[in-house]
Amino acid sequence: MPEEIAVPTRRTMLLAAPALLLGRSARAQVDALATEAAGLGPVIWYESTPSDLANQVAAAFGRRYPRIALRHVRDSGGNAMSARIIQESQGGARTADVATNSASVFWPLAQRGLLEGADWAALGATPSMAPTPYSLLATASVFVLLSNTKLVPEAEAPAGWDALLEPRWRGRIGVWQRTEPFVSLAALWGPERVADYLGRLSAQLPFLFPSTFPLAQQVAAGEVAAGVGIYHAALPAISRGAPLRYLVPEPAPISSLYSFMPKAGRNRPGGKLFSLWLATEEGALAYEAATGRGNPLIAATRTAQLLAGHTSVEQKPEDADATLPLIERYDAILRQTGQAAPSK
Amino acid sequence: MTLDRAVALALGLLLCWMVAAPLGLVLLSAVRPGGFPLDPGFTTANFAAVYLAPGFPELLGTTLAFAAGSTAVALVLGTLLAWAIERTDLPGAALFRALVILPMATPPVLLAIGWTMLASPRIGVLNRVLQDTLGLSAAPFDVFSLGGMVFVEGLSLVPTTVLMLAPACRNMDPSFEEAALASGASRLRVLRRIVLPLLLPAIAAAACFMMIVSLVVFDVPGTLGLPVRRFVLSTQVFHWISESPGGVPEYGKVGALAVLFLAILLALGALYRRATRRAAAFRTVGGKAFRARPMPLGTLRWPVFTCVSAYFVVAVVLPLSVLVWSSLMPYQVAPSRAALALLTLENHRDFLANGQVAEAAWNSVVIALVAATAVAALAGLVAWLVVRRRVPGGAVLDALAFAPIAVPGVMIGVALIYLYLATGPILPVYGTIWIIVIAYATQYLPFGTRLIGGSMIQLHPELEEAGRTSGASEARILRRVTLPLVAPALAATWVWVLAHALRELSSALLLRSFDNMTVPTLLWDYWSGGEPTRAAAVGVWLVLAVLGALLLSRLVGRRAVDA
Amino acid sequence: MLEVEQLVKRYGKGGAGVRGVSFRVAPGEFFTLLGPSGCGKTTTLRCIAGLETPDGGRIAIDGAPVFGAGRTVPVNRRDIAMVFQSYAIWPHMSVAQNIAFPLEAQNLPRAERARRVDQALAMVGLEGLGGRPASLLSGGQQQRVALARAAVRGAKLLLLDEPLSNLDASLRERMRAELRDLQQRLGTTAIYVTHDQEEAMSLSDRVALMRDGEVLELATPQDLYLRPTHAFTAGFLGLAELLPCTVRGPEGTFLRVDTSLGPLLASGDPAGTLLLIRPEHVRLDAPPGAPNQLHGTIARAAFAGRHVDYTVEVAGHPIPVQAASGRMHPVGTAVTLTLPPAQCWLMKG
Repeated sequence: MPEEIAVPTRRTMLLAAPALLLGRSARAQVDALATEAAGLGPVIWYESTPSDLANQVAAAFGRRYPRIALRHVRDSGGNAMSARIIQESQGGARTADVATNSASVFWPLAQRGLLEGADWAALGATPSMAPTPYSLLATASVFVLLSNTKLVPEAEAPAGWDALLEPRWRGRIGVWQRTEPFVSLAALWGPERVADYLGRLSAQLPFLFPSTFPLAQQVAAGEVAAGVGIYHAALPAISRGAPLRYLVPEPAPISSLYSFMPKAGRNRPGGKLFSLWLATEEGALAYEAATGRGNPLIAATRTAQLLAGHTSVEQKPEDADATLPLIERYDAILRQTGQAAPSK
Repeated sequence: MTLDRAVALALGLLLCWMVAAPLGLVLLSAVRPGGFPLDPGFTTANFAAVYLAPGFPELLGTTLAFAAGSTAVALVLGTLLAWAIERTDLPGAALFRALVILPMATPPVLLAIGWTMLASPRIGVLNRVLQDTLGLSAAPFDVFSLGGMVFVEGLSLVPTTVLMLAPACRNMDPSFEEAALASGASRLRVLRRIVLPLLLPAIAAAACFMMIVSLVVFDVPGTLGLPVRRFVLSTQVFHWISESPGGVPEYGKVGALAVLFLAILLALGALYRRATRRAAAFRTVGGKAFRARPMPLGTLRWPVFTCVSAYFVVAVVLPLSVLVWSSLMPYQVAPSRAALALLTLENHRDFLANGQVAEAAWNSVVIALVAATAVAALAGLVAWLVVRRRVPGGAVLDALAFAPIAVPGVMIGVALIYLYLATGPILPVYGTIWIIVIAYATQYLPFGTRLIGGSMIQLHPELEEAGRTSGASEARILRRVTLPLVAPALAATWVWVLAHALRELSSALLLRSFDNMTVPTLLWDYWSGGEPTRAAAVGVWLVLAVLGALLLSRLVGRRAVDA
Repeated sequence: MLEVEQLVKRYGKGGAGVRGVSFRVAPGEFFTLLGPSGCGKTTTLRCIAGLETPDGGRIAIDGAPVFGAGRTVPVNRRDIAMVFQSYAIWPHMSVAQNIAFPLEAQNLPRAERARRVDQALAMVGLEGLGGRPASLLSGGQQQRVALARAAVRGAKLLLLDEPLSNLDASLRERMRAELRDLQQRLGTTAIYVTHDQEEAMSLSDRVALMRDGEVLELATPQDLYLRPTHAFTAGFLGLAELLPCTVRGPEGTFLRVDTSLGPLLASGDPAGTLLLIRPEHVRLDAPPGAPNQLHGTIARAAFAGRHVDYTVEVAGHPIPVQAASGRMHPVGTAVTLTLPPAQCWLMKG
């Protein structure tokens, strides 16, 4: 069984030290940003968490910066956010001041010249926190191996990647139709080994799910016995008592989400301020408390603890263009193998 | 210029703005390298990427099989059902008539999940019950298959089919059937040789509609086909829009594919016109008065009742029961006695306590009412001008009003965003509920024109001519003669749009902003946040709301008839 | 051929019910149900056809019970053919297909069907129109197709529901003759529903006059017209002057009655209290000395082509008179009315 889920308490949040260690000049910059942002109206934040949860994050931000209102607009997932920002930018309308999403979303936007860059290092960010000028790490999705506790005894629960290839899982596992975890794995294993692995996994005829949330629910319901899911997508079911367990595999693929700032935003200082705040321990813990997703580089987060002792792997965001053919190749493997032999 | 032509011109301009402009933007995106209509450049690569992809023929084949199968299921069940509840002395016909629309209120994604719970070979409760009672070794149903997809999608199209055929059934002179019976024909022969051919225009209209709808529908193939790699064009479209690896929706490919959908639509439209070429032959609403006498089913009465009840159990009671069941569970659990211990009202309590519900409900109601009224009015006007007044350019009006069906709702939403971003200073609707109203009105217009047009074809011109010779103005004839005669079709359109607008999700999500939250987006928030059972609770309240709206509209309708 | 006994059909709201109707129709007879709208005549016919299920009573066709004693033979198993008021010509079929339908329902071979359809077309005078779409027919042609479709089946019982009411006057009269002729040639029994008394009388062997769901009177057209037993019948079948009267006693073959016009000789029911006088029976040109002569003045005169309608004032009482149109009496002329005693008909009120 996994460890108990440690939901950060208010106390730990207040005691937490900022993760971005701001120097004197950086602190002065932040104060200037806050002053400037306060005069520019609410900060619009595009992000994919249900609004009632995201509003908890906004409330925490409001406690830190009472003069700045943060308004969350829920993004409907997938590539909808990039489409929206492109359209609003092209149409000359107001768009997000800050948005949170994966590299696959912000990178094409940056390439279209729609994002504002920043000197994050000057603000105290390490290169791993700010891999490009357009992005500051906010949080990460952690891929885990899910199994149904009623259908799969603890000793038999798949704990590693090879376990999924055992014959007993044929037709009984679910995977996300996006090959993201495997693309991340390729950063360590190399493209060919992953392609080979994926081919053998596809021969197991896994069920494809349009999103990892229904995947987790269907493992809980017993429609599939196990699957490759995402930690925070399994939390709602687990917190309500579903017979669902998760194990972090080795190596552990993750998918980082970054804060980025469209040029067409109207309160860009506010957007930048919020990006910075999300990267502090206070912000990261508030965000994780609301969404289950935490910043793996901030030791106090549950996500960092989850990944402790594991090799977390991921493609570099600036390599997004190079990753593209890989994704297409892996997608094809996952989708085609099954077609040759429809499940019965 | 006559009044007709002036009205037709104004309507044409409105439709150009509502339909042609967004469609143009969709098609424009097909030739843009970046896929966005306002991107620079020109390319044909999108067409090549769509139509020359290695898997395309197979994809198209599966899609056509799925669409044709679903349409066939919907037409067979829908026609029989419409006939049975409108034309015969079926016991409980009035109740069935009210209930038939209920499944429309359930968001299809929940319906598909419900069917997983019912007919999955692993956890499906139907399978388990049948296996236990009959001692079967294998599960009798597998909803995760082409057959399963066809069945569930077919069932979900039945209410619409019934709505499209019911006015035609109601308006048919009963002597046609009686004359056949009195000629010694059996009831089945009457159905086959008389009823079906007379309903042909309405059936053809419904068939065109269902075919296109099942070409673009995503929820059912996405939930039941995708897991087992039964891909159809709409799952491909979903992939392009939502999941394309590049991180940006590939609207270019969607636009390129829309060309195929439009071509299929035009072909179906031509078939439809051929099927109804002798339109005069189908003026079954003559100038002669008749009493709508239900046909006695005789010895078939109880067998037909059993079949209709079986349909309702399968299509309404079972999925709605699973919906209610899910809404009472903390997480997704297939129905079983053991799971009874988990029963909780938390999801409902949570829904009712959610601060956004009031605002979302208000928005939903306003959107649904305005969109329903707008579609009924626009479709009625289009059908009247095209079918009754035969204005020049009528075919163009008709095509414009039918075209939006060929484009996935999301694409219409995308195009509308551009349109109203560009006209923001004059028409500040972007980000408000009104852009959602416009999107729905555009999306649902095709249903309205098919239904009302089909109903108007049936009217004998003498009915209007009699009004004219009575010295009435055209406006008065429209109001006092034509409108009351097509009122059932108008009402059916209104109710259909209302129910669909109350549950519609995809474009609402796309057009979502701070203050245009709707109930389905609330539902989707739960659903996509990994809490399908809370989503189910919202679904239950949606179904109740639509049921309430139906009862209310029936009450109002009856009062209007009495007055 | 047809027996209807104590037929009852109740209707909820305002519809025409039937309250215990009984009659028998002989083979080959042309039998008419006549009455004002809402009298239950169409309902009776539809019960015979099987299109309505009665609430009580018994119906037998050709000796075989089709309704009653717990059993109901469905429409399509009854040996009938029916012509509808709206003709119900199926618009999606050609003329020939329409006519062939009853044969198709009998699963007759194609060649046999074609032969009989041609016969039927010839019979109604529509030779060569078999291929025409039914929706392109005129009203009269539709009527003929409907008749051919009913005749082709060779059913023993032909049911006709106001088949001529949608035709214009001249066509109606011609079709009336053809209809009767057709029925005679086919030798079928016909049950005919109409509200037109002239149609009923000119076509029928016997007429049942219905009112409020009951058969008021059933007789040959002559008896019904000349010798009715109810004032309603007298009034429904034609123009009638009804005078209250008191019978004084027999006088020769007639009865002597007192009326407000004075004493008159009459025939009919000795217990009668009403005297029926038909305007066309009143003579203006009889020689003096005949019985039942009254003196009056022409108060109104209207030329109607075939005849002239007068209103003659007799002792302050207006009497309608119909006379041949050869000669016109101007208003104000003093005339002598002669009421032939055989046609002064006494009945109960």
